[in-house]
Amino acid sequence: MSVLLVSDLTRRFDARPILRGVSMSMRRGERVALLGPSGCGKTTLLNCIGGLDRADTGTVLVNGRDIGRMSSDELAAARRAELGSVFQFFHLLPTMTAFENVELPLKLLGIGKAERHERVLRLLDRVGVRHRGDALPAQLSGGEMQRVAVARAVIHRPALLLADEPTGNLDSKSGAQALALIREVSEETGAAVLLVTHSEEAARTCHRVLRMRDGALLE
Amino acid sequence: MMHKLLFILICCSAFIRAETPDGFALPQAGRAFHFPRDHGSHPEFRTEWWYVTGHLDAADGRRFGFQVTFFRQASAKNGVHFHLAHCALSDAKGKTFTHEERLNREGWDAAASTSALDVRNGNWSLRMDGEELHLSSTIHAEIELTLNLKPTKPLVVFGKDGVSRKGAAPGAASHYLTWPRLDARGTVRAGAASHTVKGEAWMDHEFSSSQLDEGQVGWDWAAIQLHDQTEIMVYRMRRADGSADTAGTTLAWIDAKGGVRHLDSTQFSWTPLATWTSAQTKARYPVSARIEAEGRAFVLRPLIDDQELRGDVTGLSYWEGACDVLDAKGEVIGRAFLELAGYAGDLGRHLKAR
Amino acid sequence: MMRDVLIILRQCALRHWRLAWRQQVMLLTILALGTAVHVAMRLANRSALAGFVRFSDGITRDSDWTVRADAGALKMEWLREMRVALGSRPVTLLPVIEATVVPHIADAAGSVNARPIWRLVGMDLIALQNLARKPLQQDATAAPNDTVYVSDAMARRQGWSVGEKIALVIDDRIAQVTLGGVMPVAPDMPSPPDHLLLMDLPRAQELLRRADEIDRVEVLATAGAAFPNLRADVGTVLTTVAQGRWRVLDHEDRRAVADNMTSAFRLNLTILSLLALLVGGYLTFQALDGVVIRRREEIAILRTMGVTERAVKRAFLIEAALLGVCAGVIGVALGWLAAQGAVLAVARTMTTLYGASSATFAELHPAEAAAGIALCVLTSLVAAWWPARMAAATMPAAVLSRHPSSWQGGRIWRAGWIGLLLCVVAITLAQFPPLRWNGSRVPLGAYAAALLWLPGAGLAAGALLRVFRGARGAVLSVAFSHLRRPSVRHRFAVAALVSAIAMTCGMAIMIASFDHTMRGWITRAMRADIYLSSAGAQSASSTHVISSETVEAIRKDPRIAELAALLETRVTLPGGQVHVLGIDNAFAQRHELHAWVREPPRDWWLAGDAALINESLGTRLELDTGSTIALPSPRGEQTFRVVGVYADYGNERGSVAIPQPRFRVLFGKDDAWRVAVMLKPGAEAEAVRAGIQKAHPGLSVFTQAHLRGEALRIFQQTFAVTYALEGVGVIVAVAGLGLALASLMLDRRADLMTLRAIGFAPRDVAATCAWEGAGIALAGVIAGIASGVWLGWLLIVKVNKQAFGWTLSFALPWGQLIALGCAILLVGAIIAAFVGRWAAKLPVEQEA
Repeated sequence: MSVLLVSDLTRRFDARPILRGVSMSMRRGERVALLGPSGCGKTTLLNCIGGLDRADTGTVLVNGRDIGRMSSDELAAARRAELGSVFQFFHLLPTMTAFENVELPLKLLGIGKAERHERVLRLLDRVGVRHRGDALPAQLSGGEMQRVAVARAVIHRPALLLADEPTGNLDSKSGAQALALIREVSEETGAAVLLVTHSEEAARTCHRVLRMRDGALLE
Repeated sequence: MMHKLLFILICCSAFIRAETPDGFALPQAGRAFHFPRDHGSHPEFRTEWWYVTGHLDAADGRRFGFQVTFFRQASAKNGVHFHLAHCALSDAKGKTFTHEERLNREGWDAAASTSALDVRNGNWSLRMDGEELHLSSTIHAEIELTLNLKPTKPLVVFGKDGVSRKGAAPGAASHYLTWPRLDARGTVRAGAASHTVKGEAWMDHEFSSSQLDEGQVGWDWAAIQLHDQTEIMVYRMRRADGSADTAGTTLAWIDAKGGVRHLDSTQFSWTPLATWTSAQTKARYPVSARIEAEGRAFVLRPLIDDQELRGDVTGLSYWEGACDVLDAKGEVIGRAFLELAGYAGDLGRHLKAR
Repeated sequence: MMRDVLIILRQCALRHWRLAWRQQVMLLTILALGTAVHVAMRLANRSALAGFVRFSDGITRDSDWTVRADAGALKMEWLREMRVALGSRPVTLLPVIEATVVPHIADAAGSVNARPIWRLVGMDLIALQNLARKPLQQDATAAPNDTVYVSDAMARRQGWSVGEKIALVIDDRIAQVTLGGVMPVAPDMPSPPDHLLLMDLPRAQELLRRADEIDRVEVLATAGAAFPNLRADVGTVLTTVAQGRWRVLDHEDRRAVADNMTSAFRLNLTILSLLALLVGGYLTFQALDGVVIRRREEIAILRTMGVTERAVKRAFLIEAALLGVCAGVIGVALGWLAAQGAVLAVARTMTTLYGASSATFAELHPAEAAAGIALCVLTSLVAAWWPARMAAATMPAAVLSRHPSSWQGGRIWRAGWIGLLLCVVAITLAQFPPLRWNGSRVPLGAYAAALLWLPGAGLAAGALLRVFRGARGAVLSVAFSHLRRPSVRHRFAVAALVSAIAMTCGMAIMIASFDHTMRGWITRAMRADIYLSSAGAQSASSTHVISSETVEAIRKDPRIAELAALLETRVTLPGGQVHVLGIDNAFAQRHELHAWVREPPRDWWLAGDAALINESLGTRLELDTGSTIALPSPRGEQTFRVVGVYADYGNERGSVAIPQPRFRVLFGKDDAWRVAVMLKPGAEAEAVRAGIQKAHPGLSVFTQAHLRGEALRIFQQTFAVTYALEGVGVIVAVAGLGLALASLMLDRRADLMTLRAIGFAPRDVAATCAWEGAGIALAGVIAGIASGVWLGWLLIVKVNKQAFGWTLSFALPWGQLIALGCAILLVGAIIAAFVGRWAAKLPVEQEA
């Protein structure tokens, strides 16, 4: 079964079409790169898949459930359980430590304190920033922030990881490390990864590459 | 004289009594006057006034006419006495005329002595001290008048047997006492400037209980002081049609020694020569007149046209001003004060309405 | 440079104003609200004073001088002396007699202050015509003897027509007067106050049975060219001939008396008005700060295009000034409107305290409006200063290259020590003695302490936010994470809340302490079974008395065991009028009526020159036992020795008590001001009361229980306006909290999106915000109540004692404070939840 099934998605802002009938699907554990120039609709597609934006027509099925038909609570629950997100600007919560940031999704799922601790520490260790657990985001380097962000995105073992330009704000070495981390985590947890990027190099780490232009996928 | 009873007056009734129906005394022929008591107030009469007019010359040639009047008027309704006072100054050079009206009830701030001449109204006063009178008054903090007045001719009592008639009705009469010529010395403070002045004044003291007769609307009056040391007092009560009421019309000659001779309405004439119309009250006053008697003519020519007193308090207006007196040849032979009352509305009716 | 500024203004500011008009409207509203509160307070304050001055001025225009007797009344014969002394000076002397009167209402004797208070003024209506261009249409002397004239407004309000018979209580009598007409209104004169009954002087003297007396003389001395220095000259002359019989007061003196009398009340208003300003400043800061956040990126772009820091800063300040002008205009208008309501409350209080009822209208002078707008602009500029600096200092790279972290504010605002320092300075200032000035005392140190304490405590309270830590749920842990690392915005929100709550608590404590003290005092002082006063005596300043004949008639009632009259007159001492009381010493001692601050020896009254003073007089004139006090009297000045000081919360003017026999000799008065009656055992107080009331309808007769209740009711009424103003402070502070949260949420939009991406439902986002708000409110409440207790102590122990000479016992209204705290917590959380719901709906930002 597909982790993600997008069919005939359209989205307009005012009169301007952003997405024009996008269809795609992803299997479990599959890593797909989405390449395309700025403004082609990549982020809008990602937002629609993540439930942060609603499409005008078409459906998004995550693990077989229609994101577009969910109430905001159901959507939030779906995000808690099935989705993870990594952003270009990391979006760590500035007032929470690295540890707390990673712990937050588990808190949302109501997981007990002992298990939370154990899982967070293990994952921080895995992504190599365990020693920075008590630091605030402002005290972390870019690479460290993205590691924490990746950890936060996968701590709850999502079925689908959405990564929006995760390397866009990193130097090439940190970028490569971040991509490697995402690949490793995906392989370890079986999460599908949808990687939005400009970089052909980043795209090469994926199983499949989709190219997008003017709101449509070029196949 | 019959200067303005600008106040609550009631016309007299036509029967002979020594007092009015509401209990005020009427003038009695042959009344013996005792001084200084009779210079003072007579509250048994309804109306009384002390009326000083005169002409003043400053050392620098400035000429002023002044009028300071103290009225006492008993209210017909409850016996309260009111004191009304007027003060006016004409400045011949500056062509200005300034005046103030003041009304007070009898009491701490306005009173007239019943034993001697001592009247006051606020800060204005007139009192007699031995042979000399002291007059003090102001106009709106702009003008201060301080004069010592000394009679240079004896006191005159006008009318027949001491009763001066104003109309045919028996009650329309007054006791009318006058110093026709007083030597005046003192100061006039006009604005910041202070002038030492001397000149001649005229003072009437008149008391009565009913003045205007039925049908009378006003009067014309003049006090003429000729350079030859004789004086003329003349008045005519006017009816609505402009004619004079012969019963209330008199001209009195005062000779150099103070002797008085009265002429009746047939023996003199009063002819208006020019009129002046007040911009404020629209009243038209005959401010210049020719008076002819016994072959002599006297032309009264005002120093200033506008010498109208517009009553700020009572709302009654009249004209009272300093004049030069010219003979037939146009030579100045004396000075006069002319009073024109009842031109700004029917005074008789107005007074009755009060 | 200026062109850059204009470009920024046109391209950014104006566009923002147009596009984000809702936010601009909100910002305007906030600024306007701050200004409005301040303006309203000011107007209410001024109108309180104006109402009083106008009341005491009566219908005379601003006279040049007012002559009043030092003790008792002026004699008519002295007028003549004044006139003689003035010589030929053209001066108008207008004698005035006046009394407070109340309408007689047959069955309204039961409650104090239930009736309107009018002032009967007797003036010479004849002489008055010399001044008024438009005299009364009627011949005043010809009218019936009982004719009064009132303003058109009063006649209409009362529904009176000419010829109306009006029953008045005068002393212990009921007198009837007839409405003769309405007072004419001349265009160049202020319209006559509508609580005034004008009567011809001799008739008023007759009606009041004070034939040869007057209360004051208004002196009009308009200078002219012939009398250039008339006014000063007249003042000198009248003072010279006074020989201790009277005092010549000018407008300032009269104002000073009024000032002195209303200072207690005005103090409350002034402090609250400053509070409004302070909170308004916080609000503005928060709002402008929000503007900077929203435009940060734009600014960064402009900076990359070569616009200088100075231009950015200048543009921001100009925009703030523009905002300030717009908001100022709106605020002044709003304030004016609000003041109309406040004025009514103020007027009611004035009536209660001073019997000076006058439905004054809060007029707005152009200068005041300008001041209000200027204040608004200034506040706006001050508040914009920091955000403008921050905007200008924004490094373009920081904003454009990566997403901005939320602004933490300048380090200086995060330093808790500034708040603590202010608090320490405030505590030090509170120790300073009051400033003595012109017979009155100004507790300047205490005022300054109160002013510094509020922001100090507020800023220091930010530290309290750090205690929020460790939470189980995701929502709470996000909320607490913000509180644990508070931004300047958090701190300011707390500070605003703390200021407002502290102020409210301080007031509540002060009122509770007053209340507590008053109850104690009333219980002690009101021991008699029945109290009598004239029904006209509705306020401390009333002039009504009970004639000695009436007192004797009442004494004959067989049910009465004891009866004591209190004689009273007023004398002028430095700093204002003082009551002189002739007391029945045996009665007072037997029933221990006095609460002593300094107890006199039992036989003090045997000495001919011994006197008791009340505490406020002692404080004001620095008198204590052993001091001497000189009292003017109709028989010349008399020196007394102070032998005792008693507590007295009935008046702040001060009173001196001497034995009755001495009082009668000195002041020649035997009429009673108040009468206390002790009943024989078994007599039914209510029955006796009803009997006396029936026999003397002009009296107010109270049983002890009733009077105690009334006294407390009046007390409550007096402070009613204070409660209302407190409410304004709290509302403004809570609004500030809402705004601060809104700014925080805007600033945190990216984080909000992150939260949603992680799986926060909108409800969770709103809850996060609500908890954050509740946390701020909690910190504000705790710190606010704590610092409010100190403020209350300052107001009671320092300000009251220093300014009014009242020793109050400190009482903490715990229930009230807790209720207040809970209310603020609740309202704060509700508002925060609303802001949260709004924030949760903010559109998701488009990522690059």
